[in-house]
Amino acid sequence: MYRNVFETEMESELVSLKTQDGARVHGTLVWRGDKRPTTGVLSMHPASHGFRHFSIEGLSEVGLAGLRLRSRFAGDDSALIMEEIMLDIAAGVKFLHEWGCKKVVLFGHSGGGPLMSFYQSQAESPTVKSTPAGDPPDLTTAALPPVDAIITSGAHLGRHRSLAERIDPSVIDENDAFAADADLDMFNPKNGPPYSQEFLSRYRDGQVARVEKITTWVGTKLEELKKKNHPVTGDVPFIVWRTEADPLYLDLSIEPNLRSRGNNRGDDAFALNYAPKAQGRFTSLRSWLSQWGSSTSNADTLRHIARVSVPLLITQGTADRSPMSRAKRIFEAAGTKDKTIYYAEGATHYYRGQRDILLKTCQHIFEWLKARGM
Amino acid sequence: MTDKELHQEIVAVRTQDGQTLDGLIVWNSQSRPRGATLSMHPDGSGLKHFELEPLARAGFMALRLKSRFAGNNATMIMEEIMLDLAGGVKFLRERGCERVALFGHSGGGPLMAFYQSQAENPTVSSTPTGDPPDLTRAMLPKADGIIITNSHLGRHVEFTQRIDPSVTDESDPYSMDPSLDMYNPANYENRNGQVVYSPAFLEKYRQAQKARCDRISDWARVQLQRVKERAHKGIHDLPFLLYRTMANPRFLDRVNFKSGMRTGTLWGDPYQLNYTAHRGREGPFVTLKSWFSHLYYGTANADTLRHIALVKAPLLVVGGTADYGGDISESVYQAATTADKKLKYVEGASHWFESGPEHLKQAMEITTDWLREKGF
Repeated sequence: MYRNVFETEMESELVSLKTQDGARVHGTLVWRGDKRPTTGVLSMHPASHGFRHFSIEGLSEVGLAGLRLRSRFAGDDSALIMEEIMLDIAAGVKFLHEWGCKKVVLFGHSGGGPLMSFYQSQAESPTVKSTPAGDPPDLTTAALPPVDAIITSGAHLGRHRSLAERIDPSVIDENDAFAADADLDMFNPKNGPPYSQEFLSRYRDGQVARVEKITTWVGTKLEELKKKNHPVTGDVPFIVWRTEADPLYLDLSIEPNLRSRGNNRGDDAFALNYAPKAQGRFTSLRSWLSQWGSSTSNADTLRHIARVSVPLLITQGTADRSPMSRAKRIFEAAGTKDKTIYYAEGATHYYRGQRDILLKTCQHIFEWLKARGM
Repeated sequence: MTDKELHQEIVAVRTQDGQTLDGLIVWNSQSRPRGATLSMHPDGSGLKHFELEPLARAGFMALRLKSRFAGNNATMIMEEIMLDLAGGVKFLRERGCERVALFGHSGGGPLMAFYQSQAENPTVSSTPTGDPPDLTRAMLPKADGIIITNSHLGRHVEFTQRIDPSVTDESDPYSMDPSLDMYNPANYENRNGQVVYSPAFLEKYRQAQKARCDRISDWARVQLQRVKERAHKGIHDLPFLLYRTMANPRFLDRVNFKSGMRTGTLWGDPYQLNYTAHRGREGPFVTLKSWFSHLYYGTANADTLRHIALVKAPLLVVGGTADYGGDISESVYQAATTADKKLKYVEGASHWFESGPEHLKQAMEITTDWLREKGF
C-alpha cells in the first residue's frame, strides 16, 4: 500500500531487480488497485535514493503504473558510471513488460532526462562499446529493450553540461576549498548581481577551462596509475571543491522566469557551493570521465535525443530554478517527428507543495499517452 | 499463513527537525498488532530486511526506516539519527502500537543502545563538535525493549580496528610504512597456510591505529577552526579524503581471533577493499564533523557498551556463532545492567543468518518468543 500526496490509497510493490551484469536495484511500483494498468512509466534518476517520488504520486493518481527505480548508485554518485545505469534501466523495462505492461514509457526528471535519452538512443541503435575509461559494459552487446515513448520533466542536458554551468571558476587551487580569484567570483559583490555580459562571458570561459583542466589531470592520473607497481590500481577518489555557482542562481535577469533566488537544492547558493555533500563533490577518476567530463561523458541529452524515434513529451515548470531554455533545446535537438513541449505554469522543480499543478501535468501526460494508444 | 495476508505499506515518516524518511511497514492484515518493532541501520539504504516478514507473520507490526544518511555515510552525524529513530517510535505509537521494541542488527545495535539510553536518561547535549541536536531537549519516546542481533560495538570501535596504520601520508593512498602493513608477509607467520600475527605486532599495530586516528583528529581540529571562521557565511563543514580503512588483522588471523567467521570481510576481499577508490564501509569521503561524530574513538557518542549499560528496558541479545562478533554478543550482554536481559546463540549462524534457512528461522523464533514473553 502507498498513500500518495492526494491521500489516495494505491497498490504498491517494493521491487528488487537483478540486472544483466548482476547488480541489485530497488524501487517502488505504484498503481490504482482496481485493475493493472497496461501502460507503465519508469521514473529514474542517476543517484536519487528515495522510494517515494512526485512522479509516481501523480502518475498513479491519473491511472498509470509508476515505477520509481533507484539506480545501483542510489544515494552516492562518487563512483557513478552512466553506462552501468543503462543496465539498471533495462532491468526496469523488462520488469514492467513481465508485470503486464504492454507499453512502457520512460520518465526522466531532472538528471533523469539524459539517462532516458541515452538509454533509448542505445536501445534503438547502440553505439557505445565501453565507458570513457574503456571499461564494461558494452552497450552494443547488452540487452536494452526499447520503450514506446519518453517524457522529460525539468530535465537537464547531461550531468557534464549541468556541472559546466555550475562549477565555480574562481577556484585557484584544486586542493584548497577557499582560495578564490576575486575577478571570477560570482559571490564577490563587485561582480554582481546583476552580472555584466563581459563578466558572464569570462565566467563561462573560466568554467569550461576548469572542467577541462580537471579532465586533463584525470587522464594523467590514470596513466600514472597504470604504471604503478601495485596489485590494486583501478581508480583514485578525489574531491571537487565548489560546484554550485551558476550566476543564474543570483541574477534573475538571466533566463527570466517565475523562479526565486537560489537553486533547486536550496536557497543559499553560497552555502551550497561549499556544502560538504553536493552533486559532484566526491568523485573518482573513472567516474569523472563517465559523468562529469565535458569532452568525455556519453550521457548527453541533446546528442542522444537526436537519435530517438519514439514520441517525446517535454514537460517544464515555469518556476524552475534551472535554466528553462533547456526544454526548448531538447525540443530542437529531438529527432522524432512526434514531439511536444508542455509548460507547467508556476511549477517548481519538484512540484513541492503544488499538488494541483502536479495533477494537471500528470493529466496532460495521461491524455498525451492516450492519444498515442498508451 | 500465506504472504497474501501480509500487508505492506511504504510510508513517509517525519522527524521533529523536518526530515522525511522512507519506511516499510509490514503486518498481518488479519490481526491488529499492538506490539511493534522498529529497525534501522545508520546507512543501510534498502527497505527490505530479513526481520520484517517473520515478525509480521508472528503478529507484530514491523517497521524498517532508512536513516537520513541512507546510502551515504560521508556526512553522518549519529546524534541526528536519534531524531530519526524518535520519528519511528512516534509513528508506531500513532498507529496504535502500545509497545515498541527496537531491533538493531549489525550497525543498528549501537544505534538502539544509544537511543534508548538517551530516551531513558538523556545526557548528550550536542554533537562532539558542539552542534545540534541537543538530545536532552529532544523528544525521544522510550521504547519498551531492545533486541540486538549480530551487532558491533560502535562505528568508531569497528573503524579503529580497521583503519590501516601503515599510511604515512594522508594525501597519498599508496604511502606505506612496511613494518605496519598487515598484508606484508614479513609481519606474520604462515602456519600451514594460516596467517598468525605475533602478540607484539598486534600490540604495536593497535597503538599505531589509534595514533593515525589521533593525527587525523589533530588535523581536523585545525580545519574546523578554518570552517568556524566562515560560519557566519553559511560554511559549516568540509569534506576530506580518508584512504585505506580495511585493515583489521582479524580479517586474516583465525588463531588470535577465534570467532566462527571465515577469513575475509562481509563485503569482499579486504586487500582489494583497502585500496578501493569507491565507498567502503568508511571513507574515502568523510567530513570533519562526521569524523568526530561516528569515526573517532576519542569523541564518538554512539558506543554500544557505554549505552547498553545505562538502559533499564528489557534486552535480548541474539548472536550467530559464525558471525565475526560471537564474542561481541557476549560483551554486550555482560555490559548490560538491566535486570531483564537474555543472551541466545544460533549455532553456526553467520552475520545475516543466511548460512541456512533454519538459522534465520531460529533467530526469529528466539525474537518472537521473547517479544511475546515480554507482553508485546
